[in-house]
Order: sequence, then structure tokens, then C-alpha cells
Amino acid sequence: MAEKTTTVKKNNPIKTFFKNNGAILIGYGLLIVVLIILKGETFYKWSNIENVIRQAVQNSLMAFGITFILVNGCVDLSVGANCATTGVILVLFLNMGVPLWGAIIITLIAGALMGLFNGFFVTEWNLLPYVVTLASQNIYRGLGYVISGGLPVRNLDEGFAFIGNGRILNNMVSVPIIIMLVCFVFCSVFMARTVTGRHMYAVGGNQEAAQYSGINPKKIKKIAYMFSGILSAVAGIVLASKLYSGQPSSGVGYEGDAIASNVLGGVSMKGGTGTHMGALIGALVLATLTNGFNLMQVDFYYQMIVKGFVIILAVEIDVLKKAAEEANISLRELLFPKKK
Amino acid sequence: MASEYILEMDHIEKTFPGVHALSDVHFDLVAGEAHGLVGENGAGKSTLMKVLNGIYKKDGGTIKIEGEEVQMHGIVDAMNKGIAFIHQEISLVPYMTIAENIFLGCEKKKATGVDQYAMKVEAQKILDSLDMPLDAGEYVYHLTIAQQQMVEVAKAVSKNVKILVMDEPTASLSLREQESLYEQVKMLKSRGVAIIYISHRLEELWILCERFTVLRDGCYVGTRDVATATNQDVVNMMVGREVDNYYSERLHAPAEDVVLEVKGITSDVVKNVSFDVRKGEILGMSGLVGAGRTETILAILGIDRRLGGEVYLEGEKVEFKNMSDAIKKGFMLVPEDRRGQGLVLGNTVGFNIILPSLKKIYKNLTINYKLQDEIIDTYAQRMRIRMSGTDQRAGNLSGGNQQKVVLAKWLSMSPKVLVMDEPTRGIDVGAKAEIYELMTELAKQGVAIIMISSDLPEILNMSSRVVVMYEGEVKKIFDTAEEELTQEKIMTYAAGVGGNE
Repeated sequence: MAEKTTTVKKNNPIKTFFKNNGAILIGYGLLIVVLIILKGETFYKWSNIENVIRQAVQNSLMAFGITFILVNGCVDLSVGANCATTGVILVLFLNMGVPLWGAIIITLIAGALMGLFNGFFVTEWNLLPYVVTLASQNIYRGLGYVISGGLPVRNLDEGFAFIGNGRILNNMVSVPIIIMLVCFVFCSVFMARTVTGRHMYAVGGNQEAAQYSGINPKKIKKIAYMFSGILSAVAGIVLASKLYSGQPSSGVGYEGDAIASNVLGGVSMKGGTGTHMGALIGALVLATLTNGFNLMQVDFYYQMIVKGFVIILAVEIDVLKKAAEEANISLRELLFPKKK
Repeated sequence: MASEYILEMDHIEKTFPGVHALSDVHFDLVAGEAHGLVGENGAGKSTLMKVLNGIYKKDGGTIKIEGEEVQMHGIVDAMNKGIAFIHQEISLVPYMTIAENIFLGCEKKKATGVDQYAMKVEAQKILDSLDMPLDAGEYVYHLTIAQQQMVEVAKAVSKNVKILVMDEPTASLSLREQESLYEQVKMLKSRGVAIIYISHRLEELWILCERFTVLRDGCYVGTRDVATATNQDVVNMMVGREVDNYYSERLHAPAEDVVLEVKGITSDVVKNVSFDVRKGEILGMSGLVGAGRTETILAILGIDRRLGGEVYLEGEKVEFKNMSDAIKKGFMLVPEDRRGQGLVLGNTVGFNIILPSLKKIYKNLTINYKLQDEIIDTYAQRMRIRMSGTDQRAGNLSGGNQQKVVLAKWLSMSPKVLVMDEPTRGIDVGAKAEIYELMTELAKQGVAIIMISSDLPEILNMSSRVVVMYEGEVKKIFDTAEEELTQEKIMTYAAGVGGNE
């Protein structure tokens, strides 16, 4: 039989990047252009840009965790509470005289356990993720109040403060940004290059297919929840350090921004698609919006309203984009069909 | 004797709380054969297969593979022993490429992680060797159902299967796509793969299989060679009694009394579609899947964007704005996916029947319970729904009875035109005859029925007239009063060979 040669092309990562994130990048680009025109150097000088990224760190870290969850077709509402309580745990252990590295490891384990707790009830008891994490949100925050006695617990150790407030590279870059980038690279590589990461896409895309291919969806989902817990703990560590204290009342509503960042970045709430790059861009868009409004001295209350509308608009664009992609036509053809 | 059988299942027992699902079931399989597994819904076919792949633990009996007794411990175990499954519902991950789907669960790795490129190359090799015109890098959601089916076959082949279980693989395929699937089955057989073929389409036994085994109510009825059996034999074995007349009497289209007239309907999918439906007839709509039959209805309903054409209901021009507008005017749809679109499965039979009539019952903050019960009872009886009571969950009914609930629901709204999309798909032989009877009855009472169907015998035996569509256009309208219809005549037009009329 004559050998047929079908050429197999390697994926071009840059092309894929623009294909996945095209719509949001255009929107983000427009936003930046508008801000440069309106504010000029005030906006684009390095200290402001660095400020924007630093503002995005907290949210991005939690958004990275949420990406794992959403790709699996689940949701996690407990990340804000997790973040506050892990912060308290870190400071309590520091105050007990545990060295910084030890306290950090303990805190990360605590975060992982909180994630696994969610994962257990979602997979083994088959409860709805929304309900489980809504409940565990209360449990974790309550736990934070109990162990802290309801008040912020302080620690003024210099090493500890460096995590959230330090600057390196000639004072150009804040430490939290480096932490965020390290987490970003880890998450992205994990999702794209490990078998478990690929299985997450399979479980979220078609759980039954995954199961019949010999994948254990329960295990995969537990791992996703564990990652979400760990990343929330990282966010908790950074936040506590920034505030020189663990505050049980911090992090309220953070889960909303984290989910919004993912949605803005094209991570589907239905599962199966989305990347950490998307989540990062989403978080940066939100931070840039806030920064722009602040530079223009827009009232915070109005900012919230605008932010809400931006999210709705972004999601609609994403939905249309997906519909067009599935019908194999361009977005323009979908919106403006030719009448005959 | 070294076993001539690649698979032997003997005295298989399985009990669920309250149900003896399998009792003393026997099944055997020879390498390179296709073995039909038939039986009505609930006969125990899927249970037997789930015992085979280890999802269910058997309560008794033995499973031997190539003469050696084995214990099955789940899907992965079955896969390692060379057993693969192709399910009725496509089970691929839509947002992954063909290559990723083929290697799902056994990904290729390199030092830096999953090796996408190697998987793509390997997958392409498999696709090429099977003569499948697909690109391994394509995303699955871009593929047609038939192409997805091909990917499933390729996936099975990549795992070096010895035994492939195909559970109603042609249920959602068009005729031409079925042909391509048959080719693939034959190709697999020639490679020595043994195939267990589960199907409700009995004619497929003679196309594909060497032998068949019949199950009834969890019991083994018998295994026979296809060559010495007739269709009637199989049906009798399945039902356990003589079923002679399968189809109801055929109706003829009256010359006048046009209820619905469609003139030049055009949408993104269909072009210039014209036909009419008359009072008391069953108008068959035939064509390959994707020929635009359902899409024609969607365009009439205004659910798909209409780019041209007119619709007349009882001589009056109508423009349906949406489904509820159409229902108000007497145009109703029994959807193909009755579990997904026809019924609220978690709720009761009564709830489902009363759903469209709620406005009659809930008025001015009072609830007319009497009228509610009256409507539910009348139509449940008229449709002869077999149930424990109207408070039974719709999801627990058999497919045939679920279809009757959908019919009852619309009848309570006195439809003028009733569109039935694949009315008997996935319904038992016995229940099918009942659905046909009900359809004929309804038509006689003056309902104009449009029956979209991919089942050619159904089209041939039930329709008064047949509209054949191809690639969004009407190719031919047959009137069964004027000429004897054959499958070949319909296929000629459905495949686009015949000219426009």
C-alpha cells in the first residue's frame, strides 16, 4: 500500500496565544491606549505600571487556583476565606517561634487541606461544588476567627515583612510580583505539559469520556481543589506579610474578583477550556481599570458599577466568539449575516 | 480443547436491590466475528456489558478470555485485557484535538512533559492506516458525528483491542454515515477484532453480523446464526410472542384541506423549501442527517433566523416569533431528544402533561385542581401511558412511554400541526408499534403530522407522502397513493443523485 503522507504541523505557541486570547487582548489594548492618551506619562511610567501589576498579584494568585477548578467544570467560593485564615495561621506559627520557612510550609499544607476538604465533598459525596464551597467559606472564616480570637495577629519580623513589601532588582520590582510570576509559570506548565493537567481538560470537557478512557475524575478534581487551596494560601501569605499581620476579616469577596478574572480571560464556566494566561490577563485588566479610574479620580462606588458592566460585556464577547468558532465562521459573519 | 472462543461468559448473575437484572446469561464470541446482542430496552444488554467491563461486579458466573478465567476490576482493567467500548453517545472531549482524544488516558510523554507532537504524529499514522480523511490536530467539536465516530474507532484501534463493544453506534448517524461505519466494522473484523454489536436496528444484523444473541428480561433466550434467521424470528425471540403487524395501516393524503403551507423558506441552512401538509395525513420527511429537515422546522418556527419565504396556517399567513407563539397558533414539536428537550425528567408524568396548559389552570390566583386532574387523566388514558400513576417520575418510564407523555402533553393543547422528530428512535420493538398506532389515530382525528425520520422502513410504511431533502433543498415529494415507494427510490434523491423537481 502506498504510504500516504499527511503533514503533521507543530503548534505555533504564539499563534495559539493570540487565538485563545484575541478578544480580551484587543479590549485591553484599547483600554491602555485610552489611558495613555488621557493620562500620558502618569500612566505609562514604570512606577505606575509596576504598581498596577502589584495590585493584581493578590487577585491573580487566587485566580490561578480558580482556573484549575473552572477547567474541571467546578467552582470554588472559599478562596477568600482560605486566604484570610491561612494568613492568620502563618502569623500564629511565627509568633510561636517557628522559623519563617517552617511556618510557610505549614501554612501551605493548611491551604492544601482546605482545598482537599472541598474536593472530598464534591467528589466522594457528590455534592454541588457551589454548595460545598459556599459552606466551607463559612467554616474557614469561622476557623480563622476562632484561632485568632477575632482580632488581627501581628508580627513585625523583617524576613516576614519582606515577602509582601520587599523590592529587588535595584528596587525596581516588588517581591510579590516575582512570587506571582513563579506561580504563573508553574501553573501554566502544569496544565499544558503534565498528564494530570491534560486530564483536567478532559474531565471538564466530557467527564464520561474521561472516565471511559481510564481517567479517575475524582482524583483529578481533588488535585484541582488542592491546587486552589495552595494558591489561596500563597495569596494569604503575601497578604499577611503586606499587612504585617494575619487578619481574619480580610479577603472578603476576593473569590468574586478571582472568578471574574478567569471569565474575562476566556476560561469557560462550563469547564474544558481556558488557560492561566487568560486568568492573568483578566486580573491585569481589572487592576488596570482600577488604576485608570484612580488616576482620573473616579469615585470608588462608580468604579464598581463600571467593573460589573465590563465583566458582562466581556463574557458576551467570549460567548459569541465561541459560537462563531463552533460554527466555523468569523465573528463578523455571525453578527452580520448576509441576507440574500 | 484450547478455546475457540475469545470470550466466554457463562451463568452470569447480577442482582440489584429488588431486581434480578441478569440470570444465568450465556454469551460467547469468536475472533473476527461481529456478534449482535439484541433485546428490548431493559432486557439486560447494557448490564451484561457493564459486567464485562467491570463497572458492575457480577454476583455469579464466569468470564473467560481466550480460555482463561478472569476477574474484571473496572474500565482500566478491561482496557488492559483488550476490551474497548464505543458508546451510543459519543464520548470524546470536544475541546481537545483528535490526537489528544485518541491518547486520552495513555498520553505519550517526554522529559519536559506531555509530548503533543509525538501524539499528533502517531495519531495521524493511525488515521491514515484506517483511510480516515481526518487531520489529527483538528478539534473534535469541529467534526461531524460520523467523523467523531471514526475517531472513536481509531481510538479503539490504537489500543490494540481484541474485543470491541459497540453500543448502538448508528443511532445518530445518517444513512451515508452508517455505510462508512459498516465499512469500518468490516475492516476491524478483517483485522481479527471480535465485535459485540448492540443495536435496535435489526436489519443491521444481516449487514454486519455472523451470529446474534437475544436477551429478554435479563434471561438468555438463544444464540443463532444470522444466515438461518429471519427478521420475524428475531422479533419473536425478543418479544417472546408472535408480533405480526408492526406498522399500522397506511393513510392517504386527502387532495385538499391544506393545514400548513410552506413557500420558499430559506435560512442559513435550508434553501427555498416548499411543501404543504394536509389535514389527517402523515407527511414523512426523509434525507440524510444534516439534509436540513429539522432545520426547516426551526426556520418555520423562527428559532433559526429566516432569510426568506412564507408560511400559511389554514390559509392565513403566519410569522411565528418563537416557540410559544407557534404553540398558541397550533404548531407543536415533539423533539428528537425527548429526554433532554421533551420532558422534565425529574418531575411527574402529570406535571409534564399539564405543563403547556398551566395558563388554563392557574387563573386569578386560584388553582383549578379539577380541570388539572381532568386534563392529566384524559390524555394519559388516551395515550395509554403505562405507569404506576400520574405521580410517577417521568424519568423512570421506558422510552416508549416517555414518548407517549410528550404526545399527551401536546394533545391537551389540540394541535393543528404536530411535528415529530425521529418519533421512535431508541424505542423498543413492542412500544414502536404502539406509537405508530397512536400516530395513525391522531392523524385520523384530523391532526396534520410531519414525521421527520432517518428510519427508512418507518418512512415507507407510515407516510402518506414523503418529502426528500438533500443539502438544505427539497429534492422530491413522493405521493404513496400514486406510486409504490422503495428504499432505493428515496435514497436516490436523499443522496443527491436525483434531479430537482
